[in-house]
Amino acid sequence: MARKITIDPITRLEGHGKIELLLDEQGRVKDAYWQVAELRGFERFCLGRPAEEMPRIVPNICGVCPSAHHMAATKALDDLYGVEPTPAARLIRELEFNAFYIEDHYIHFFFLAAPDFVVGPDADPKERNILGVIGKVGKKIGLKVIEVRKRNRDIIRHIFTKAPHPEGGLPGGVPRGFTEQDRKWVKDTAVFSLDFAKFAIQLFKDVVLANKSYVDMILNDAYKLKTYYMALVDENNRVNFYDGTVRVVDPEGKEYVRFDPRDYDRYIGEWVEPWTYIRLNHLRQLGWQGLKEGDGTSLYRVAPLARLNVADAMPTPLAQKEAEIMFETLGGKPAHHTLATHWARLICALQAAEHNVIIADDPRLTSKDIRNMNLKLKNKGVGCVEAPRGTLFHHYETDDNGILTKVNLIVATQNNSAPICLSVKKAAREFVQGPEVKEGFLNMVEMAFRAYDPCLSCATHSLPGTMPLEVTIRDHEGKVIRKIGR
Amino acid sequence: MRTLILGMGNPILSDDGVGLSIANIIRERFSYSHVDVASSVMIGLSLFDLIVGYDMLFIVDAMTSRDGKTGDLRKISEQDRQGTLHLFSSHGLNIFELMNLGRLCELKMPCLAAVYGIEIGNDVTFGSTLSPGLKEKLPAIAEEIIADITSLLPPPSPSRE
Repeated sequence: MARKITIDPITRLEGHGKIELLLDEQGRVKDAYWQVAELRGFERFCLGRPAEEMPRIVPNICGVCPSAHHMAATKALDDLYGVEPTPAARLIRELEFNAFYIEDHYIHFFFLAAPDFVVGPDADPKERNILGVIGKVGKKIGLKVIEVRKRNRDIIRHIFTKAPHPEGGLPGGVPRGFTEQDRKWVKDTAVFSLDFAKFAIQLFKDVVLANKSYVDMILNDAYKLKTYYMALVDENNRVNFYDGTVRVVDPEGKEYVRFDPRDYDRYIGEWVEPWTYIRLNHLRQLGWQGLKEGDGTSLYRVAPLARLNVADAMPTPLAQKEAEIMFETLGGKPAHHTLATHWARLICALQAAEHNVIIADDPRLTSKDIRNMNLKLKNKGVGCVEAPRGTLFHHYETDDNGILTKVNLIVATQNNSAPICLSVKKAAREFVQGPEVKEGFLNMVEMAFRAYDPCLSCATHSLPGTMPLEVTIRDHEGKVIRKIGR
Repeated sequence: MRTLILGMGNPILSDDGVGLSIANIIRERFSYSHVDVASSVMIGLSLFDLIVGYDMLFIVDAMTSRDGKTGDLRKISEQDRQGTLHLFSSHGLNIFELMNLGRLCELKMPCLAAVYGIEIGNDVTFGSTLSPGLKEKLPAIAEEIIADITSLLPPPSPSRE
């Protein structure tokens, strides 16, 4: 008798989605599907609009990654208009993007990951949240998280008019630069962020790595997945959030391919399955091999752990040192341990903070040369950044008046969609046995995909008025045999 | 006493943006110097930037519930949410958790006087205007909210008006 367990909706996740676990006659997990009820029609909404509107439209796609979409759109406009930002403009964009990374990664760590690791994966869900975290680590930490976020948002707001939805992206530059008077508060924010980044890494070591059961959980095969990895790297194969070449390494860590982001559709395939609206990305030249890991897989992953797996090194010294510690702890590179994504996330935030300290001292920061107006419409533009959740592509085409005729977005969660299904399946096989499912076990299944920090919605603001988590167990005829709700 | 009326929603998701439309109407109607009207496309921690320092807060937002009809107005108090309400937000922090977090961290948090939820159904699509059905009901919904907020507002200080 086949049974079906539904976790719907997923908690602590932007937007709506659900997980379906199909059991075999012995009550073991036979298959797992991560389903997304995706809003459709965004491309149609954009067509016929001037391309210049995109940096103002796309931040509304998503309540989590507005700055990433904004930057990808702005870079797509650079390409569309065949213009290179001035050196000062590029520097200022990197400052803003790093500020966004710092804000984003700490929200994820303290609000999504820390409840599992600080409060405990099997703790009462009523306590397994940010309030529970602060209860454990103290309200001073809560204030620091709020402060580091606020200060970095001031940088975003200064450059691109307003945060959290920056709107001022311009082809060839930025709308606003910095004065020498501004440099001091920018530097203060960068230094404050760096101190916080060091603290966060130490907290992870003290709370997570010092706890053997947590380390065992990270290293557990249930949370391990052997795939290819994709990320942006600079000319020296170091992690680069803002720009560079797309590099893909195989499950053994060897370079499989590197390509210009403009050629993304030659290397990225989008597979469609009837059980989900989200397209399942894979390496096109290997063909769709199904939901399969290891030998013969064509699946790749993006996001913080992928960035560190893909790159030969980190571009800043403290981040490099921490990456070395991480890979040594995990048994080498590449690391396939999905839960280590949280660790890699903190290292990426450290890199962003270190980089902003460097930028704050750069003489070019206060240059008045912040816009290149040598615009020549090319009718096609591709923008690519490492969004906090992974590699993000924006592809626009226009007519000769710059009016959009084509829009295609490849977002990080889409890149990770097939591996997320596999990660859920592996975790479910380990932690779920038949209809007798304990709350803590369900959370351990959720942790498998929460590490990816998937983002599903377009800034949903609904008040569902229902339980945030509902587990339904059905028999092979669809009859409900048990319900578990939070 | 400083008061904030906050309309929330997504301006490119048609009816999801009804809270923003209501905020625009309220902004035209309210001229009290101690009342500010703001709009936000985000929730979660971002709201700290907007609400900290105020004494009283009203929120207007779209909502979806199982038995609701498009245009229905529900008033939700902070006490109502216990065990039943989850306001999905950027990284899962709902407005009530946000209020608790702020208080825990000893920030000057306003009293959440009311959350007005306007039912929008489940068929939300991309679009920069409200659906015809909701648009038709908008004036009546706004009147009801304005009347309720007005009844709850403390009288303005004569010296400030």
